Amino acid sequence: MLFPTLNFGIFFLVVFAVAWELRGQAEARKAFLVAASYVFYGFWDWRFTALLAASSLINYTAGRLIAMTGHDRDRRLLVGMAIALNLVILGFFKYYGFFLEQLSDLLDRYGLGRDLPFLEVILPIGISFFTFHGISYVVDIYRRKIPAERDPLNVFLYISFFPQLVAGPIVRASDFLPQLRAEPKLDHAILSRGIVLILIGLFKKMVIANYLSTELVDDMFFDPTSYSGPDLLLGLYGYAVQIYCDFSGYSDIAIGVAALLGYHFKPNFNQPYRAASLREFWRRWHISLSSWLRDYLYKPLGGSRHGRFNTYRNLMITMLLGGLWHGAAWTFIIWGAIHGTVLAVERMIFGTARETVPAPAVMAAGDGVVAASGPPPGSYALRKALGVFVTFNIVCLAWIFFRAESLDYAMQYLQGLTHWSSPVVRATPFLAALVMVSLAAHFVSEDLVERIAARLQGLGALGLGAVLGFGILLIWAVAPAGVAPFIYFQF
Amino acid sequence: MRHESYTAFALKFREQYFLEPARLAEEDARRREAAKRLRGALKRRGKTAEPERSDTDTDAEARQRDAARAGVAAFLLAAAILLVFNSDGFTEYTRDLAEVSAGRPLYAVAVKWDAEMDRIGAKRLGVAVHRLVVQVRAAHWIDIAGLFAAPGDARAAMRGKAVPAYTGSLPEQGRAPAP
Repeated sequence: MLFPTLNFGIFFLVVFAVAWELRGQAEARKAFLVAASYVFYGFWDWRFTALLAASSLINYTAGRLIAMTGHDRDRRLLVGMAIALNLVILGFFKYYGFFLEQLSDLLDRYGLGRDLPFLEVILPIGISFFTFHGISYVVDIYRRKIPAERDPLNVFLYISFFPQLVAGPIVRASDFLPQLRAEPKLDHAILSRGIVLILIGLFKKMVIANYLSTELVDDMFFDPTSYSGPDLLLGLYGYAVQIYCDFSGYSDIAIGVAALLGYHFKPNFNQPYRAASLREFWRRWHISLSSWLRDYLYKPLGGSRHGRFNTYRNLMITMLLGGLWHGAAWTFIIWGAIHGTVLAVERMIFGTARETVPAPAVMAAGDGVVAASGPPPGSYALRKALGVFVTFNIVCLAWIFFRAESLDYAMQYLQGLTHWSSPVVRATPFLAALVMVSLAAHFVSEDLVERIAARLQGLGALGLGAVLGFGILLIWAVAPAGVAPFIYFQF
Repeated sequence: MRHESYTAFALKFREQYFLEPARLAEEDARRREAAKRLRGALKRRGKTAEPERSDTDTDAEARQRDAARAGVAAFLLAAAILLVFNSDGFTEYTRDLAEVSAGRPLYAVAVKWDAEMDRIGAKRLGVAVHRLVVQVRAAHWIDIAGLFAAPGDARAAMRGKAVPAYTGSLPEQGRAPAP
């Protein structure tokens, strides 16, 4: 079930009304939300609800066993087994075909080619996300950050809760489970915030992402040799905006829907293209994945604790696996390698300083005392702007590999970017404005959503209903026909 | 040593999963029995066994209930707005449902409703917005240049008339030929 459809609208209206009717009965409410989440998931393919249930059961049982075991060695063994089991399920559905293809190529190269058991494996939607939820749950119990849940409903709801089930955000067990023990909250402030987030998310996805996808990006990446350098450059910037609006739009709707049901999710995006370094970019882009990779992969590998070389190695491994998580293809691995390399280079140049562009003298001062250190404001602004420009273009370079169907297409795209003599055929004022305005929106105030929500708060039920109804009507009228699936569904 | 740890694990498992739940169930039954007796006694004296709630609890619950009702009202109003101003969407949705016989009456109602909304002019708003978007999408660079040109300038006269060889990306106009 896709968010921007009438089916979801009807489904959510029923879920909202019933869930709040059950607010005084915690167990019944949780059971209802689990059932609703399975209906939501089963709407796509009901057979995979068994996989979702199995994943939840495995992690619930592993959590109980880890909590019951006193010996560190046994706990380590159990958490290792649970992680391995989660990864085996993910690996089978997501990487089976890829690894078998690579193995077949390798055997052919050495003249050992033979028939391998290739299977048509359908990728269950959202498997990467619910696997990461499961791993987060068992590892946090192992680290004694959270207690193991006695009530299986809590674990089932944590793993299958429909707003975050198919494309995140990756919610931490330590953030979500305590909310299940408290009474869910809803007031007019949360209501207006939820509605504003849903409208902004729908606009990003239905209008910006869908126009850029259908009128610019898809054709460019389908046949890059047919277009000139300026067209391809606009197509590339267009893809940067499209993937941001597609994924952050989904996250906004998910966060808004969860808020309307009384649960708080942390933000998943924070104006990523205003980042002045790649490290800052990863603090603003898909925050739930980058912090997950940091806490469950980079830090266990040793993080930055064992010298420079090991830090660079750990960064590289983390980003390569982050790339592989997105899909079983060399293009994703190269995407991860570009990010890993640039992060390592940044660390080499700037060390562990949090900001690659130090704050200017006047900003570092407090109570009217001008600090002596830091560059003058003019120089700061220039360095910051240069940092934003360079970072954005590095991110865009990596997006070519992320979006291209294969390495050949990616190379064709890169080559095409250097051909500036051919005529410009696709850069219409509408598309150029869509890209520019979307990028400029990264530089508005970070608390814009909160401010809009605060203004709507006093409108009352009818006012909010009118804002929601006319907002959807406007989006519907402006958006291109049809509903394209979200990009992150494939991951 | 290893054997001992497995024995301890088994004992702990038994304690946690068999003995503890049984003890809890027994306690729960005892508690329920006591509550039942208390309720019976209070009923006989004409009193209620409900615990008294503080004003803060009641206020919070009332606020919560109001917000939930406001939410349902807002969603229903939004649905009504869409039903009136975007009756096309309702017709499209019910067209899929009409594939099964049970959905056909709903489709017939939706078609009638759509015609009625068309007659009273409720669909004009969506159409006007859509027309504006089509114009914006069809604009060429020469139109933009015309916006900033002086009244006598040739570019101003070309506004809305020029059809360059390229930059026609509207689906309904057909795609521009690849160079």
